[in-house]
Amino acid sequence: MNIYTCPQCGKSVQRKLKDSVLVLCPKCSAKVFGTIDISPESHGVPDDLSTVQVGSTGKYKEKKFEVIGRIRIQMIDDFRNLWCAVYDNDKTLWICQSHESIAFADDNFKSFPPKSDIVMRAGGKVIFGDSVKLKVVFVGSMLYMHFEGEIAHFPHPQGDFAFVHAVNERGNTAIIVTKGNDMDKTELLWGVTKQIDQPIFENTRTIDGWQR
Amino acid sequence: MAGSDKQISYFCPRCKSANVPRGRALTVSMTCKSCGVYFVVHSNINDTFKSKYEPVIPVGTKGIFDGKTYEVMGFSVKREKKYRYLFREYFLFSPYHGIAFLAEFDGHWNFLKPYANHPWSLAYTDEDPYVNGSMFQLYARYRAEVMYATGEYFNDMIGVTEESEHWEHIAPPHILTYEQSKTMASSFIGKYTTQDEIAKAFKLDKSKLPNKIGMGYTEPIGGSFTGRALVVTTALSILLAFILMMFFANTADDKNLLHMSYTQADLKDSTKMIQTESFELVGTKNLVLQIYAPVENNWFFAEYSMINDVTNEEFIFTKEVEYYYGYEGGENWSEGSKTSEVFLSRVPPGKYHFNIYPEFGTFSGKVDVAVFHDTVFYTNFWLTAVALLLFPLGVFVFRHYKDVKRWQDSDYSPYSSDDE
Repeated sequence: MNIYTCPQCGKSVQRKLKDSVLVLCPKCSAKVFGTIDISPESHGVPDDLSTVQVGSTGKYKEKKFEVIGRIRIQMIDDFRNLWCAVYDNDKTLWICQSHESIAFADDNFKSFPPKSDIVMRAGGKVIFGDSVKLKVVFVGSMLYMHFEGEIAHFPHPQGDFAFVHAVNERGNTAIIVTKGNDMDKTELLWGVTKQIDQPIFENTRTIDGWQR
Repeated sequence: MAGSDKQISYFCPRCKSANVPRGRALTVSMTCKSCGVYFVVHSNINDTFKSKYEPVIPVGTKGIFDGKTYEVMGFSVKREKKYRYLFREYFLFSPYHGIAFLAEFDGHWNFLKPYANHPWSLAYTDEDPYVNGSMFQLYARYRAEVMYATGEYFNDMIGVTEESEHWEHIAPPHILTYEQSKTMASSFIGKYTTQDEIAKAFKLDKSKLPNKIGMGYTEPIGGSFTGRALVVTTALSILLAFILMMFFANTADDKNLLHMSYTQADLKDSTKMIQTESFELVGTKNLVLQIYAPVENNWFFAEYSMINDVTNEEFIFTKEVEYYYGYEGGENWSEGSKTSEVFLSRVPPGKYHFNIYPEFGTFSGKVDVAVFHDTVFYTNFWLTAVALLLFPLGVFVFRHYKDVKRWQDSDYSPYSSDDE
């Protein structure tokens, strides 16, 4: 049950989320389970000195989570780590990490609601329906994308998308993945932003050559 | 697992040398270790610099701030486009504590960290931001160009700097920055950092740091107390002095021990002196002698000798009463007073009398003399209040002077109308 054997290295790999769409071998990054395909170069993540790792744990809204996978999105001028975590036993928690902030979304990517719009520039508006407005703080075109571990649904796993990060004064965050600003090809994660320097994770990685 | 251990290297677009970034996959731009060319690793953007500047904190140096170790990843020299002044930035990084910046201008340093909750990031407003209980005032709004860079960065540092508009708000010693380009809006919050702190953090010789020029725009002004604390402390001190004064006023006897009148005719022929009745002083308290002489454009002078009836100990003093008035240049004028008062503090107890040696001159009226014991002396309170006000007043004047100097280079100085 939910245990897979890596076709490349033979390692036994457990799938932890009910609705995961991709599981890569933690040893050799080969696909051990998946309903989606990703490019061969996307298997495995380059070292970006992140202290968070697959297996890192923490608490969000007083409930435990465990990081089980990551999508690292490299844009020409910035990056985002989208950590996928199993939360509150079997739910998905996405954690979006940048240099400036960290955002939590205890849900999966969803279609953009009707009557929504995005102005695709920093300072532009994201409008959901008639009332909710957010301010765009980042827009970037995906350059490279890398995967590790186990991943829940992600809108455009083959890449070629724009990444939008929008926030509002109530602490809400929208992580938006869009193709050509086409609302039919746009999905979002709805979450909250926290300051980057708040202690969040346990079981983090110690990095050789860097002092604490 | 946290990423592949495979070493990353990037080839310089000019000299083709391989460069291994210290920031691994985080590094987006860097300068070639061989030829110094700046290049963005994921594109063909590259740039060279006309001038070279030496960082006082070399790239690779480790520094400790608040117990956290950062490493200098990059050094850049930027120029504000309108007024063309140069400032320097050190890009710091720690995998455990994230990114930070040290900005230096005219020998004044600020240490900055990312701040996601800048009100301008979260909402459509251009009001001065209120953050962490402080109102930040706009000090500078500018565009900048990069004159020199070395090391590595986690964005296209030149592109981001030159395509962004920058706002700097201050609530000394804190600074709040906001920059926005077409693709990103980011904010940092920071604090003035002294040269001693910089030298200690990086184990540098302080004398190697650039000399301080003028007042730093986030430099704190002497003393750790706030204006509010100063006002509250002074008000409480004056209130305490008032309460003490009221207490002494309520417990004072204010007893009239003697009241007499005399004229020149009452003088004893042999000594030209008036001797008063004796009066008893109980306890070591103050004594007030009040004199009333109805002088009109005249004066009255007397020497007073207060003598202890038992020990013959003497307290000698003089006092003049003079009052002049007139009409000159269409206006009435007057000076002096017909009354006068002598205050003696802490007079020992005992039985006393006064010997008065008056000089009437041309004055021939009746002089009234009254002696009061243990009176309330309100002047003490007012002197105390004035003394208590002098310190905060001095502090406010000093702070205002320094604050005007702080803002003198800003286009947004709250003192600009005062200065003109």
